[in-house]
Amino acid sequence: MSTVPADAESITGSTFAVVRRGLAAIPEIRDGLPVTIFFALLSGFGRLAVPILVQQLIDRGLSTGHIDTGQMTRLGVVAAVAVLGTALATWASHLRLAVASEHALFGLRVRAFSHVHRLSVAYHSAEARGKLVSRVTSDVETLSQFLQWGGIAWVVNGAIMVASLAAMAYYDLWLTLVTVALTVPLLLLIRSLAGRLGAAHSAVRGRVADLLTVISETIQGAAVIRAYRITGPSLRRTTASIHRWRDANTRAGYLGGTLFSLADLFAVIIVVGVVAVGLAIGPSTGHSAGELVAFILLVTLFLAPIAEFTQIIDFTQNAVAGWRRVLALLDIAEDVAEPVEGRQLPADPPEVVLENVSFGYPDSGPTLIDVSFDVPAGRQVALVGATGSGKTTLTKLIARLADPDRGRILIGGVDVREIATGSLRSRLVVVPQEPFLFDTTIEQNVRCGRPSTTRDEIERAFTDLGAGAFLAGLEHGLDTPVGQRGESLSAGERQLVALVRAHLADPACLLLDEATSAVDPEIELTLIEALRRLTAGRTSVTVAHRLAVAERADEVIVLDGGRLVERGGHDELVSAGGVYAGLYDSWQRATVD
Amino acid sequence: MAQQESPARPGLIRRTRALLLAAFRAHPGPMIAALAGSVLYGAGMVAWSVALGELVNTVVIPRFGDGHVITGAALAMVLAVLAIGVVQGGAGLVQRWASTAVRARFDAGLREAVVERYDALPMAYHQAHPTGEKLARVTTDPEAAAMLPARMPYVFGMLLLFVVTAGWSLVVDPVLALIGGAMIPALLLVNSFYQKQVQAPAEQVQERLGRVTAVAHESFDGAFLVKTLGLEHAERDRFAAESGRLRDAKITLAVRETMLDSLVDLIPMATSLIIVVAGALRVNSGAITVGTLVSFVNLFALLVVPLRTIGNILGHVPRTLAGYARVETVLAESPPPPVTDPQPLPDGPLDLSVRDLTFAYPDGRPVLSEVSFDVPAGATVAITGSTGSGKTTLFLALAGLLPPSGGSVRLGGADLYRIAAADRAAACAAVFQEPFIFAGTMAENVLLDSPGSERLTDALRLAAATALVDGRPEGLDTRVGERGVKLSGGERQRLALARALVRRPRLLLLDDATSAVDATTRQEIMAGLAAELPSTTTIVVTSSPATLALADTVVYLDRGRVAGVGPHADLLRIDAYDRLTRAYERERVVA
Repeated sequence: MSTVPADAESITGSTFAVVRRGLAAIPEIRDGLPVTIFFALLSGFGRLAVPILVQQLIDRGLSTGHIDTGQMTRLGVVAAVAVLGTALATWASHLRLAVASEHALFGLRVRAFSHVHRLSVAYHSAEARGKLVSRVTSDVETLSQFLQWGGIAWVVNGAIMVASLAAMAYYDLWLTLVTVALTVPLLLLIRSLAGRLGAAHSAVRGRVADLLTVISETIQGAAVIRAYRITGPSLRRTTASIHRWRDANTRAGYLGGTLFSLADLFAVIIVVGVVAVGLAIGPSTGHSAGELVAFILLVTLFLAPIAEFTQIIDFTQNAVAGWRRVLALLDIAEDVAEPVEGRQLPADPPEVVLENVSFGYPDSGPTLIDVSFDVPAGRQVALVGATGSGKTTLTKLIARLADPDRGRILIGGVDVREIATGSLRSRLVVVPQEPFLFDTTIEQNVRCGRPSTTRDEIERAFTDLGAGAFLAGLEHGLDTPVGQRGESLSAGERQLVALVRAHLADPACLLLDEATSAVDPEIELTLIEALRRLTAGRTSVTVAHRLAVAERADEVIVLDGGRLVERGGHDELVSAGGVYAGLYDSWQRATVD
Repeated sequence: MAQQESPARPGLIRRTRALLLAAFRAHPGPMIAALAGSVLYGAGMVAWSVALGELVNTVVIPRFGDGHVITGAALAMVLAVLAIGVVQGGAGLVQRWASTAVRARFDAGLREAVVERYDALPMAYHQAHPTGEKLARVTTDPEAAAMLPARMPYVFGMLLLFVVTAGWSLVVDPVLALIGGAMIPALLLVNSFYQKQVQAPAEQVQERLGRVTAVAHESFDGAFLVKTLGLEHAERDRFAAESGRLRDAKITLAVRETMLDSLVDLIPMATSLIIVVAGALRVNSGAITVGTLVSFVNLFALLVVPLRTIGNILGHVPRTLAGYARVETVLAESPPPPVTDPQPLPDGPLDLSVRDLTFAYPDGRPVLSEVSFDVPAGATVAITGSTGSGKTTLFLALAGLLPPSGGSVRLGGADLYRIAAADRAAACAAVFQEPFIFAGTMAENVLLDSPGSERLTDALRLAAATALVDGRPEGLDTRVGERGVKLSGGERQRLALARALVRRPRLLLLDDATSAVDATTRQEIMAGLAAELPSTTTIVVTSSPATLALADTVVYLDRGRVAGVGPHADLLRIDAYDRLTRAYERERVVA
């Protein structure tokens, strides 16, 4: 495959670049953002009210031991209005941002979900499934904290700091410079520690994942561990991984604690430094006691956000990690592109032709090498070969669940890459080896073959395929719930439902992957009959595991190691004494005693 | 919080005490350090505010008033304030580090204890509890439990701070003390209201996130079907509907959270304002000095963070106690006593004798009733029956993993459940239908803990796994991924079979162990085992007629009872058995 492999798990680039791309991917966040930021700034500046009030009170008489009551009341009222306004502005900005970010996350989630379904089956391995689910759930969720609080906290806290600094500069430039000079080393320390804290946190996340793997293995492998008496080593392994997790956790905790304590310590040093310098300069500069006190309160206000920044940095790093993964998913190009002005398939059973088809999965060797054959319209072909010979992959290529690396596939004389997806999906239906059922009723599951179907038609479809007795035998009939992945039904029953679903879709061409797993004998006969009726009059390609299917096919195609090695009628191939004859012989010995 | 301490929840304080004592006994050092750090930190906060006020009173105001301050005294005062601040910062560091240590160690300790207990508990326990539940006992529950021991020292330190503050402020100025003090119940009230208000929407968010995850999982699971039936748009709509519900729940939560957050923010700001104005009046009347007022403003500003934190911690108490209680239930399960006076296994091939074997679930539902049969040394016996006939339960009982409720299993004349576990593991090897493959290399999975073995080649060959190893560039060192995801079902089964064979067991037990292997290969494997391991006694649970035909004897189970014992050909006279096993042949007739 020429596309990016599915495990290009996260995009690279600086934190800033990722945040910028990430924000571009959620345009909804920009709705009303200026107003939100306005409120946020308002709430930042509003916090200056109390320090300014204290300064005014002290300087307008309190330092001499008495202040005029009327003046005090006026000042108090103004400050009260400011405090109340600040609270309202804080609330408005937070709420607006929360609502906007939830809309943005919703959009991102749905876009990522749709994108997953646009990717070819090459990306849908069992291994990748858990990761894909996390992309649209927990990874998107990590953005929530950042968008709702972390993102705007940069703005609000920055505003508070700038406002405090401006107010401080208004009172005294020299003291402000002292404050800034003393803050710079703190910022540098925080910067270097925050980098290490980020690394420590991602180490913890890694250890948590390892621990989960090891612990779930110990739990799910309980029988094996007991049967082989490897309790000791297994316990040692688990304990070691618990210890690694504990140590990583402790390290991150110590770093975080140090960071917070440093902020505490610097607050003390800066306040004391400002007082000392203020005292040394003294009243000669024309300052008042009230201004110095207000200045100290402003310094506290100025430093408060710094401690908070350590947490914001953590949220930001979490969000960037989530963004890297979600953006990487959205970056995977659709490898099976919808044709422009796709062609329609005719209603009649089509001819299927493969010309020099080669294919390989990402990160592994070739699965199919130069395969060519044709299935005349309305005929049945069986694909036979050992496990891993490429049979199932071949059906996926015919159904255009992935495109061949080389060669082409023609259905009804048209290259599958040029057929309109809608037409292809309605005229050609695949019944996989392990048919998937949604966690609803039999009726709902059959109906997805053709959504407009009536209940009567569904019942008739069961009868058409000779499965009327099976349906009648179910206590709740069509309303029988099938459970997760259809697990309340037996493997054979699941296949039967899938066959009826395929029948309702009424395709002209069928691709069937016969199940390998053992099926209850009672259902087995029904299945064989259903299969026979389903394929009658349709072009079909069946992956045959039980060679009884091959015996009655019009032609047998034998694959070995991804290559077509034999083709012909059953009897012809048996008498030829090649690969097929060998397979048939051992199959026969396996099933007949 | 108030209602949590009311008589309606009498166990809460007792259980909190029990949890704290357990943590204290396990990690006394960090617990003491955390407590000492917190107390010193709280004391430092009060001292810092008082000293700052004194500084204003004795140095700042005189300096700006008449300009005359003794430099030495001023310097001493400044240095004293600095020292208090530094001590407080140090205490904060001790408290944070100690709290981290308590949390990490207590959490890890509980996890280790639970994992150890899991290993000691019998298979029956594991069968009775779902994986998700067992996983939570080792992950989220200890994590919740560790919260309280880690944070409680801080709560104690801050409570002390409140008491000292209350004492100091009442002495200095009762009026301002009462005004400032009113903030505490107001904040606690808002906080407890907040906890209650957000609980329901927070739970709803969790539940809906779960549903979004379920839809995504199902949809991606069925990606193949979604594609082949062109259901992408329908699926997108289904996912968008669930995501929309999640979004709405999160917005509801946000409305309440931001509202209450703003209130919690407003209360201390308003209190400061009132203290300043009321304090100014007090200064006017000469009751207090400006310095005292500065101390008050500073101190009450400092109380805000601890108050919110304490409210938060107390709000989490029920959750953390519940987590601890769930961990305790696992630790309270007693492992089976070790085999006393173990019976020795004889050398050489082993015969197996099953007499009146009965098994019932704890709720009394019988699974096996009076099952009896014999397996001569070196023979192969197949067990078959329809779904729910008790095959797998019988298999586990014969593998020594599930002690029967009644009857006996004798291996080489010795009671299977009174053989030393090490002897039994050396003599028997079981392979399960769902083979458990560990994340690691193929070699590690086959050899498990035993060192490299010359039997490996033979084992791989007999399990028809040679090609699957040689076909990979890294051979035996190929990593198979978590739970063996990089292998197909049949490959996993063959690897698991090799794992059993490499140990040269005298009793080999196979539970549908080749169900995902194609018929031809399966037949090769079974024939190979019979030919090359003539002295190995083999029990095989199967529904493959060919395998049944190869067995010396077949035990046919029907609803937990033996419905027939004998060679395959003889059993075919039983109608149900015939129907069960001969479907393939009839398929040929129909075809």
